Amino acid sequence: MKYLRTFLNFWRKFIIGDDARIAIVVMWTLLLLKSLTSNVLNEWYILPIVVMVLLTAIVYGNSIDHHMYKKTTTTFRVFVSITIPMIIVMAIPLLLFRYINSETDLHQTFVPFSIFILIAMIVSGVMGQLYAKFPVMSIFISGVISYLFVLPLQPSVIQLSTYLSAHYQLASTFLALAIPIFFVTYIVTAFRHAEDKRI
Amino acid sequence: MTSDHIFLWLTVFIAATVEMIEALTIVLALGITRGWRSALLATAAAIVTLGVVVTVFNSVFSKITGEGDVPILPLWILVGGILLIFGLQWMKKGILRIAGLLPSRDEEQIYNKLAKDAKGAPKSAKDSIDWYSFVMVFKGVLLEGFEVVFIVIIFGSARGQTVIGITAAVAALIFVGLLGVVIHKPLSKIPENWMKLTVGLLLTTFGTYFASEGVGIVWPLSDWALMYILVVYILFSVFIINFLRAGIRTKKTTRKRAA
Repeated sequence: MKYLRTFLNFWRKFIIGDDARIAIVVMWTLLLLKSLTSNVLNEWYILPIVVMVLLTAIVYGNSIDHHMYKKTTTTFRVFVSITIPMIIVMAIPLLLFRYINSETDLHQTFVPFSIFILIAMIVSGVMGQLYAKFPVMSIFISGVISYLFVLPLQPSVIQLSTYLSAHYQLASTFLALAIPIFFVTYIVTAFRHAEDKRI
Repeated sequence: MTSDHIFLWLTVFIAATVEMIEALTIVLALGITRGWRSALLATAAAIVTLGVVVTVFNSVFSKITGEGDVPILPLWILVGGILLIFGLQWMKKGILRIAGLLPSRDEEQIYNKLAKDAKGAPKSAKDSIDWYSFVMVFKGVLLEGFEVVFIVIIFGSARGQTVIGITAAVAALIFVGLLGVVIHKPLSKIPENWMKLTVGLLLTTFGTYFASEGVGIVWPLSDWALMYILVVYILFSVFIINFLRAGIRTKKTTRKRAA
């Protein structure tokens, strides 16, 4: 059992390395892109943007604390602190692109996308809390479960959003805008909190 | 040979050179302090082991992907994801070291420590294998080489181009080996940080491209996608390094004024 654990630990450190956040963000992004990419959606710019934002966030975190780089404590915080900025990066270009491209109705793309992400986050957050002792494993498990859970819902989510757009335009527009506004507020607050700690 | 073959060869060559330099430090430290016989035997044993690993994994992946024909797209997502994770780790370390936020790896310091520990360890009988030296060198060369082997296998599984990866790794081994024989001391003057960043950039570029293709994304100007992804990442890295260096200079100036 000890040798098995050593063997698994070796592979975990080898592939994931010393910073699990990189693996988590990459996994999430690819799962979500796989769910969303279709004949209509071909968001090729999302992955490079996520890569650059992720690297910026990680090296910025190192520059704040210089040689004493602090890791976030609980699984849920790790997960939320990664997922929310990542969603922002994915949601804003998609929103802008579809808004500029007037042939596509915003409610048919952004609203289902937002609901999709929200459900995935809730499921993953719950799973992350349940496996608090094993952060990396819990995040992978929660990511896989979210993917399996949310993917079958996608047609229903699209139907729901079409219904909402047709009957409750104001509500669906609010939903589409409220989520990124909430995320931006969260990020600004998190950065301010990090700055206060540094001072 | 297409441009992505050249990039692939370059990626594996530079990655292998960086890892072989680190392995060379271990071989030199043990070889010079405790004798060359066991150190060289261990190096040969580690290289043979790595060769066996490549052969076994390559044949397994060939069977999965149908003898090197069109690879399965989900495999591309996994391969692309792993290359991205690897590449980003190398990029992160390269950027932080070049910006001065992490200490650079000092081959001479590592050599001196290894040599000091080796002198203190008990010696074996004259004509038998020095097991301390053998185990240290075998473990060091195997671990350093394993990362390169893994990259070769990953590229091979994605594009059926293991041969290109293997030739690049062997070329790096010969290059570093010859340097070691000629210079006969740790290669501390080689710009390892920039090489690490370069490998990180190339791995991240390939990872981005393969993973995107795996999820079904079609890149604009598909033949040129690798080039422009790499250019964007290079510009981004240069910007981030300069930004971080400027931040450190500002902090030092502020501290001097406060003092």
